[in-house]
Amino acid sequence: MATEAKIIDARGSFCPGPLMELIKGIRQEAVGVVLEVWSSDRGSAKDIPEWVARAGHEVVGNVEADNIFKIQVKKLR
Amino acid sequence: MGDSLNVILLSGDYAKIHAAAMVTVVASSLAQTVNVFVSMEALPAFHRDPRERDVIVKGPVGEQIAETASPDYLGLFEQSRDMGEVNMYACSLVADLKKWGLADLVPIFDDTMGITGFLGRIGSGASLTF
Repeated sequence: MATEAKIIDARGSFCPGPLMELIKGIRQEAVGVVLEVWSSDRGSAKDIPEWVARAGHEVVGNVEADNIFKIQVKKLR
Repeated sequence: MGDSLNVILLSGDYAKIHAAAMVTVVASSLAQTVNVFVSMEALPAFHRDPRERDVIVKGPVGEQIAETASPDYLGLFEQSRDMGEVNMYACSLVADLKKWGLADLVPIFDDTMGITGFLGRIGSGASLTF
């Protein structure tokens, strides 16, 4: 996991809410920025990496603790 | 991504309309062009007047989605249009039957159109019917 990341707290949001919050964040940030999505939605832990791969960005971390998924995504383009 | 995605929305079931909106917004976020044709029982779900939209049927899951999902299907379609190329058409047959024009519908449609016009505009990509 990267140590410098902008947090997107999407806990409590249902699918595709966390992904939508990530997309919004990615559109606003510069290339190279790492965003960290916090999600309580189990599906997001798989959906977000799938979207990130297709969209041409990079997952740099994906951990779960206490039913909260923390997925770090680096904007590559 | 290559081919466009074509979404044909016919059902007046809330959950199906929400699913169509989710598919549209994700495809759009991945730079896929999406063409959406809203017809039959689905069109009232897009009326400006919330009372007209209330005719949409909600099953047990639909009820939960309506209570918890944010944004709702209208918000998701709006977001999809902000993200990429999403062309939305309201069926002219249903609009004529209901005596509705574009001004009666939520402002996310490009035009009213018959199925022939829609089939003439869509690309060779996959078509999903809800």
